[in-house]
Amino acid sequence: MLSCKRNVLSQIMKRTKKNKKKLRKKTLIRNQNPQFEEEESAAEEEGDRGEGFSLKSSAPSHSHGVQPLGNLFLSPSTSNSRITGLGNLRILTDELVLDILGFLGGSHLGVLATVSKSFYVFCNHEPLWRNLVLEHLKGDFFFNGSWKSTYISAFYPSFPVLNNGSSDLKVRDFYSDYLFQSWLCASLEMKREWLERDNIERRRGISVEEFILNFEEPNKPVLLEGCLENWAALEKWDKEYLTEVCRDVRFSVGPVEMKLEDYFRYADRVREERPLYLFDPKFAEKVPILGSDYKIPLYFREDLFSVLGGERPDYRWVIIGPAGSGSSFHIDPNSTSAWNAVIKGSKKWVLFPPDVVPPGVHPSPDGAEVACPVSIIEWFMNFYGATRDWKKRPIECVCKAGEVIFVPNGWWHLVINLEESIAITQNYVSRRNLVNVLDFLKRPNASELVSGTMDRTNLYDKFSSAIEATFPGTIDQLVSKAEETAAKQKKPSFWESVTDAKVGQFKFSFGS
Amino acid sequence: MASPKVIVLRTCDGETFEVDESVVYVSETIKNMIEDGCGDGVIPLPNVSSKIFPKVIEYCKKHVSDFESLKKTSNGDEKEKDKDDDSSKKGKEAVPDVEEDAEEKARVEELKEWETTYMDIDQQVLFDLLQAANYLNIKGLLLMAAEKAASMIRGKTPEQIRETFNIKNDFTPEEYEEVRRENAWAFE
Repeated sequence: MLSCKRNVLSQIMKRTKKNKKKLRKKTLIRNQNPQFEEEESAAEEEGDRGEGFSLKSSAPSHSHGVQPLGNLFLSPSTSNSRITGLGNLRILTDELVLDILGFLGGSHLGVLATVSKSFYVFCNHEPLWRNLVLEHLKGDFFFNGSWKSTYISAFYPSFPVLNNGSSDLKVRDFYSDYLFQSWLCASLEMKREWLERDNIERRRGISVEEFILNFEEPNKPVLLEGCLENWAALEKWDKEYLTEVCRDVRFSVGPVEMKLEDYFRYADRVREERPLYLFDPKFAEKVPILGSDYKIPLYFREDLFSVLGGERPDYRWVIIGPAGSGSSFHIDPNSTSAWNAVIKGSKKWVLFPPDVVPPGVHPSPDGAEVACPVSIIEWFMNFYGATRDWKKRPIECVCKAGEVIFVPNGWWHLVINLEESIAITQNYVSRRNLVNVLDFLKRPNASELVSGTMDRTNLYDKFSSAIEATFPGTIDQLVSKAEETAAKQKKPSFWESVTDAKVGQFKFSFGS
Repeated sequence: MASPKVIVLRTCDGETFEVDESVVYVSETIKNMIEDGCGDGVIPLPNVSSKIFPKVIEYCKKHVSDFESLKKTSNGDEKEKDKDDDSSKKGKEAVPDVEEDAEEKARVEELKEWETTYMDIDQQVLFDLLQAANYLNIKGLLLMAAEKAASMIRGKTPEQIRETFNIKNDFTPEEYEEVRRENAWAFE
């Protein structure tokens, strides 16, 4: 999993010193070891060399000086305090140790932290405290800078929390790939080269017909500019407005539900590898004025699932998240297409067509599950580079406030917020992908695959009857059209069309 | 009806074991290997010793028929790992709770008793079991062993914990004071 270069840490340490404006806390060990101090200032003077990674200036210091295992070979000292410090548990991997610690309550972790330097490092592993907070407080937590301090403030309010919960102690001789990687991913900024490629087609002011002909029918992504001009949300939506208008209403945030005020408090302060992401499918039902602050862009008005009325699957979400939050590779449910409009902030998109599985992603044979074991930032660190050598490069872009991206049905996509962002997204079915959707809903394992509704197995029946009732004959018409098209044309892959100068002339066949 | 298929496995120290396929299927790792076509030859288990393997098989045997229903009844005990946010849109709904009737309750009781006896083992065996369950990808066993290890930590003083696991206190006196102060709330 970890593929850090051995000199990454030293590069990071150099940049850290450059970037950090706050004075780093004194360490007990440094004071006792003047020789060590000398080494560090020498490193500072050398300045930046090579590429390396840059840390966020607010990166937490609660790595406690954890270093990756490779550094043990380069270090003048030869011991890893992990060995003596874990005792009999040293034969277990870091993940297994954390599995055990995951069963402990807060006070037991606190006691364990005083047992040895190794346990100190393990017991301060933030994900442990995040789980405890979410388990015991659900969405009602008052984020205090770190999950540990949030927990302590809630359950031990009389105990004064210093330094926003981050601790002073640095453990210089502790080496662990797992813990280091976790901290690294929480602290990294997106590298410039990950953001450079922007090869999506952009259009402004095209007609609906042009959109359908050139993008929706051929199933190609496009970034549309200037079609949110009538959105009140673009003017009005910021944290203050939303908090005021939504008050105590709770929104879906990962496994819990939170008030906006509490969520923003968390999002403003957090630095972690997989931040909690606000993703609510009922926002307009919960707070109707939000629904009236935006209009579906012209191109996406055909919305066939609407024939199901209140029984339609989830179809529209408000998405709010801090830098680093996002979605790792997936294909949108029910074979629908989607549009995603950024109201505030900016998002980096990486898209692969349906027939290309992104590197590092492992869909199960039936498509019901997708295993993407790495976080988004780790995917960029370890897999993004591979895409440069591929003939089948992904479509990429940065989508900024006021822009809308069209995500055709079946396309793999990954999104990461580059800064705190607010967006609205909708999934939809039009006549262009109706046949696909019906095929999808008909599948034998529909009960696992179909999403956004409690009534998975019957959705096909309900939907097709409702369509037949509202638009009689449409289904048959579209099905025969699809069969005709498939019969007439051979099926070039998407990539053949992209390299072909006459882009737009071929049709991306239904069902492939 | 065809007789159950027997799978042959070899542990890292060269010993072979013959186990029913259904039993050995409780291990996701072995299941995947069989599904990939290794079921007809000898399956090597380089990370599992002949010492711990029988203990693992004992668990598997107990949980073969219970496998499906066990998943449902122990939903409350199992730790839910943090779900990655990409599944937000997919919105997988939770499995509805199984209503417990008297028969079910008795079964659960019996299983709990079995587990208590099964987990009455020393530390070395426990850690070997943890590693084996991890390598063989037997989630229920992993969680059970991890919880047992956690129970050996819970409620003890730092010194007692050190003694239990043979841990050296490698803080300097000043560091220890600092760490104690930072975590004073846990000692109330």
